[in-house]
Amino acid sequence: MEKLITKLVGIENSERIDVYRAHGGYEALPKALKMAPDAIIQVMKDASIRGRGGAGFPTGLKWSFLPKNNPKPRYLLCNADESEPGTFKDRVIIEHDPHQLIEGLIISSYAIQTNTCYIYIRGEYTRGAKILNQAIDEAYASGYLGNNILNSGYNLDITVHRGAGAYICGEETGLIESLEGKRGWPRTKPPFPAVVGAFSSPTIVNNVETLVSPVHIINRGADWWKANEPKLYCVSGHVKYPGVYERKLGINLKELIFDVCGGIANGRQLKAVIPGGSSVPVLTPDEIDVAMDFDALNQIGTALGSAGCIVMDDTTCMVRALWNLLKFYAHESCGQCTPCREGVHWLEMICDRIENGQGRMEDLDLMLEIANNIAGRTICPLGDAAAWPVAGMPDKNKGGNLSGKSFINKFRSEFEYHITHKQCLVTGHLEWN
Amino acid sequence: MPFIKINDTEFEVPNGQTILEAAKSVGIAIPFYCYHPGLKIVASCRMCLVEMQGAPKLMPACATPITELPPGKKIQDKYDAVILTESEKVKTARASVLEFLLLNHPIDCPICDKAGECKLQDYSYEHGYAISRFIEPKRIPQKKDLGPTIYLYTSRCILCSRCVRFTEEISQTEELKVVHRGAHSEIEIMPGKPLDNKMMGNVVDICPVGCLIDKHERFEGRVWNFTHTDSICPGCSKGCNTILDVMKHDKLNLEDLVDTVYRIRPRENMSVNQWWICDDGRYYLEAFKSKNRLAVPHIRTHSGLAETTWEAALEKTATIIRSVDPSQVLLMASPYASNEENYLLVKLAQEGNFTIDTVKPEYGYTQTFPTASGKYPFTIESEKAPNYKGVLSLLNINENQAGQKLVSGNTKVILFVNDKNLPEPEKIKSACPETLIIGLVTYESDFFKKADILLPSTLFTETSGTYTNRNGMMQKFNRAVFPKGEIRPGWQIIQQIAVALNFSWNYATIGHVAREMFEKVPAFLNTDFSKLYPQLAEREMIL
Repeated sequence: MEKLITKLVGIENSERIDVYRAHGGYEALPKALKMAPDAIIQVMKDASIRGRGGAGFPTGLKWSFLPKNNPKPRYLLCNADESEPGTFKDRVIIEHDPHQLIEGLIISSYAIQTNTCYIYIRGEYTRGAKILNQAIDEAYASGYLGNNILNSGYNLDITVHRGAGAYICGEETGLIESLEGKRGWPRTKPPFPAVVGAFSSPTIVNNVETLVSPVHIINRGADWWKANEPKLYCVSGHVKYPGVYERKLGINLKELIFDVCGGIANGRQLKAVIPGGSSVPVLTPDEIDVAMDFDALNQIGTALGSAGCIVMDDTTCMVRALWNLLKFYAHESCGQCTPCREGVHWLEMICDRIENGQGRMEDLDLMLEIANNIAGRTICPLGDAAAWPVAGMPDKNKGGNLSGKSFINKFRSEFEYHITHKQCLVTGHLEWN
Repeated sequence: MPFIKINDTEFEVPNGQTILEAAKSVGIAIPFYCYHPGLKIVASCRMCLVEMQGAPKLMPACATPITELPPGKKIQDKYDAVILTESEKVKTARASVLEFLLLNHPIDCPICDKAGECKLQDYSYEHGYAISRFIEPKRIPQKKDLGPTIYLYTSRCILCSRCVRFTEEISQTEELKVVHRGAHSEIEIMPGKPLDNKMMGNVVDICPVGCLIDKHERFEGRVWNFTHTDSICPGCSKGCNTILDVMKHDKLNLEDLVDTVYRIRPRENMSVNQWWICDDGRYYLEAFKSKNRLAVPHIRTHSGLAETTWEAALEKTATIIRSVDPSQVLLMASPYASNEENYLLVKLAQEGNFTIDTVKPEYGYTQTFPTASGKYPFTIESEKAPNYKGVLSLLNINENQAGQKLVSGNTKVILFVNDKNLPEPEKIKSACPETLIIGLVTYESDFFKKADILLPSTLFTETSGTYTNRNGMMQKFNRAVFPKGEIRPGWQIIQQIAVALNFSWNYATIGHVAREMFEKVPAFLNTDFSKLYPQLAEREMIL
C-alpha cells in the first residue's frame, strides 16, 4: 500500500523543509489558500474523517460548531500530548515529518480562520519539541508562516507549548487549562471548546494525525480519501515486529498482528489484545477477527481509541496487567471528580491485593461495581478510561451499565486462581516470592 | 420559558436556569458539595447527579442549564426537560459518591467541631450506605496550620475546592491551591505564604465538612448546643447580616460556658453582604476578651470611683442634671448606638430642652475585594460605626455639624450614650473644666477614669435594635445573650434617667420605642416596620 503519512520515515533528514518539499511537500497549501475556508470544512465533512485522538468525533462537524459572528479570536490547538499507554503514532509524525504537520496546521487554521495555533506537545517529547521548533523556524523563513502566507493575505503564527507530564492534559479541556497556565483540570461541558475554549475564545482541539489529514484530503480529494482512508496503527507487546504501521482504516486485527507484525514473538500463543490504547476493553484471541475501525470494534464491546494495539502472549499475567493499567490511571487521575479520584485508587489497591495473594472472592464483584460507579459519572473520560478495562464498555442492554466484558470477566479464572491459590496461574509464584 | 417536570412536579423555569436552582425553587432538595451560589461552578463533587430524559449519562444538576427545546423536539410534546432526582440510578450514584468520599475519611466525628452541621454526616445518613466495603489501610495525612486563624484537617477534606475558589474569586488572594494528583490531592498553601487576608474566615463557613476549622472555635463547643440569633455586624457602616451562635442555657450546666457568643458567621443577604463577612466583623468580640466588663454602676466619690446601686446612680444623675440650666446639659448621641437608643436621647433632649449632639465615628480605610466578574464586590467600609446615617437623620443634621457642640464651653454636664470613639477626656476637661461626665459604658477604659457616673450598658449582642447602614438600609439586630450582672440595655437606662427626671415615659419593650420612632421621626416615616425583615427571606445559610 502506498504510504502517505509515513512517507518520509526512513529518509535522511526527513525533518528538513527541503526534503519535505522534494517529496511533494507544501503542494496542498497553495491549493487550500485559493479555496474558501468554508469549502475546506465542507471537503473535510465530505471526507467524513473522524478524530484520531480516541473519541472518533467527526472532524468537519467539530469545525463547523465554531460560532459565526463572534468578535473574539479563534484558536487551533494541536493535541500532541500523546500519553495513552500503547500509543506512539504522533511521535513518528512529529519527529520524522514535522513539516507535514505544519502544512496540515496551516490549512486547518485557514479553514477555521484563526491566526494563532498552538502545538501542545507532551513534556517527555523533548526531541519532538526541538524538531518542531526547528521546522517552524524553517517554515517562517520560507514564508509558510507569519504574515501574508504565500501572498494570500492570510497570517498565522504557530507556537509550541510543552506540557509538564500529565496524562490528563491530553483531554481537550484539561489541555486548554494547562495551556492557559492553570492546573490541568478538565472543564465541565457545555460550553464546548468550540464555543468557549482557550482564553475564553472559540477553540478547536484536534489530534496530530487528524490535523495532518487535510494535506492529503486537499491533494487527493475527499472521494479518494473515503476509499483509501489511511490510519496509523501502533502495535506493541509480544509481536515479532512491533511499531507504527500505516494501513487502510479497517484492516483486520488478525491480519495486523499475524501478517503485518509477523505474529507472536518467540513462537508463543496469543492471549489477549487491547486494540485501542490502554483505556479500551481487552479482546481474547477468538475475538480478534475484526476490522480495526470505529464501528466494528464498538459492536464487539471495545473501541478503536487511539489505535494503540497492545498484544499480550501467554506468559502475561492478566491480574498483573490490569494492576499495571490501574496503577497508571490512579497515578494520572487529576483528582477533581470524586468517583475517579477515590474510585480508581481503590480499584488499584484491590487489584494490588489480589496480585499479591491477599485477594478475597468478593473483591472481583466489588471491582466491577466500583468500575460501574466511576464510569459515566465524571467530568472527563479519564474515569471511563480507567473503568472500561476493568468492566467493559457501557451496554444498552444493561441500562447503560458496563457490559462486564473485559479483564475481570474474560479472564476470571486467572483472577480466581490468584485468590484461591495465592499465586499466579502463569508464573506459578507471586512477584515478591 | 421552558416547561419542565422534576419527579412529579411540573413548572416553568427561566431559560438557562440550572437544574439545581430550578429544583430548589419548588422545594426539591438535590444534595451537593462543591456548588456554592457565590462561586464558580466546577461540578466536581458529582453529588448532584440527576437523571435527565434523553441524556446518555447522569447529569450534574448544578452545571446543567435548562433551555427551551424547539417545537416538535419537546419531550412528550410539552416538556423541555424531564428530570428524575430520586430514581434508582440517581440513588446508587449518590450512595457511591458518599462511599468514595468516606474511603479515606477518618470518621472522627466525636472530636470534630463540624459534627452536627456537617454535610458529609447529613448526606451519609440520608443517602449513604451504613457499612464500608473498604478494607485497605486508610490514608490519614496530618492537619496543617494554614495561617493565623485556620487549621486544615487534611484527612477530612473532600476536595470540593470551595475554599480554593473563594481565595481565587472573592478575596482574590489565591493563598489556597490544590497540590498533588489523584487520591493524593490536598489543599495547600505556598511555602511561607500563609492564609492571611481580611476575608479568610469565610472559608470555614463554606467548608461543607470539618476540614477547615477556625482556631478560635476549635474544641470550644458543640453545634447542637447553640441557639442562632440574627444580628447585624457593628464593625462598619456596611451593615453585614450575621448570625450569632450562642451556647444554649438549658442544655448545658456549665455556667461559665453559657451565654457567650461562640461565633459570628455571615447570613445571606444579597443586597448587603451576599454570603460573606470580613474577619473584622467575625472576630469583633475577640478584641474585648482581654478587657474588663463594667457590670455595676459606679459613682465618683472623694476617694475615686466607687460601686453603687442603680437607684443611687440614677438619682445622682437626675440630681446633677437638675442642678444646672437645661442648656448646659449636653446629650451625646452615638453612631455606635442603635436608632432606638439615639431616638430616646433625642426625645429626652426635646422634652428637657437639653442640647444634643453626636459623637463622630472612627475612620479606618476602605478595603474592596473586587471579586471575579459577574459577582458583587465586597467592600469593608472606612466608616467604622454601624449607625452614623441613622444618628444624623435622627438629629436632623449633616456630617459637618456633628460633634461641634462638644467643646462649646457652656457645657456643665455631658451624657454619653455609648463609650466608643469618645473624645480625649483632657480635651473636654480643658474646654470646660467643671463638666461632669455621665456615661453608658460597656468596658473599662482610660476615658472613664475621669468620668463621674458610669452606668453599665449592653453590647449589640445583649439587646435588640436597628442600625441604618451607609446605604440607608435599616436592619434589625436581636438579643442573643442576656446581659450579665447589673448591666441594663441602653434604651432602658435612658428611659430610667427620664423617669428620674419626672418625665412620664413608659416603654415596655424596645418594640414600643421602635414603633413610636417610626411614627414620629420624619426621616423614618417611609420605613415599613414589617419591612425590616425582607432581607432575611433566605435565612438558611448555605454551608
